[in-house]
Amino acid sequence: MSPILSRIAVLGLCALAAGGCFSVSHKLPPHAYFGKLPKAPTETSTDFERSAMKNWLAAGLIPWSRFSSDDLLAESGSGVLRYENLQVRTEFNWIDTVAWIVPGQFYGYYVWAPRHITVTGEEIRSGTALP
Amino acid sequence: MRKALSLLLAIAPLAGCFSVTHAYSGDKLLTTDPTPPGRGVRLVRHFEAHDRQFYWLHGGFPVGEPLNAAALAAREAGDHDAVVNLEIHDGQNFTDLLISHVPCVLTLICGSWSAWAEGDVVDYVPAEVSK
Repeated sequence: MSPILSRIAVLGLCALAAGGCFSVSHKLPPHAYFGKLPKAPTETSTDFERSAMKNWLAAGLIPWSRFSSDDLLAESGSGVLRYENLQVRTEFNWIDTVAWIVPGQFYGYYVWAPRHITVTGEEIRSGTALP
Repeated sequence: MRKALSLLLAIAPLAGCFSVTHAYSGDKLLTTDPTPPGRGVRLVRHFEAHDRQFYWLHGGFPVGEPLNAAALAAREAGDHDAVVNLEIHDGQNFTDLLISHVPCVLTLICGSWSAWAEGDVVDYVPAEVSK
């Protein structure tokens, strides 16, 4: 095999090994809604926004932060009937970018690379119980 | 010191690279719930959908329609009422890795990212039928 072909083969194998990089499965609880339901008169809504850094090893292949989007929602505590108007965002924000690019292109990207997950929406709780 | 500052300034525009926002504000109901509260549903079909987006310069400049798994699910719903049992995730699969790491040179020149949506398209069952 020519040197160029073998280099391409090695790159292809590396990419295959790294398949699934930075993948985030947004596990949401069963009462999560994109969009809104008609609100009952006794229900109250509160806006929320929660964000956390998720960290990976080996160029995003192995996540070592185990939390998921439902863990961010679980911070609401009990009494939430449902989550509405959900917006789930994954990004490399400026902290991630600094961590990823500055050391990354020299030594760090294959050791540590983070991403931020942000969940925003409305928590719907039951208000005063009907008599 | 000057080199470090130049690097920081150079990467500042790249913050937010490969960002994905899953959100929806249309008239369909999209939920992780198997059955929305107070509604009977009839299964139309199960779906798995995938979308890919191309980015220039380390993911800093997206090309085309933004990735959005919630909008992808709404598109799958078509003329039907809702999507239930919705699961969403985003990241890089094998093809994204090949594109981003080989021709795009470790995402420096360009890169691609994917979003997936899976769920059941349903129609609401009229109240008298669901009883």
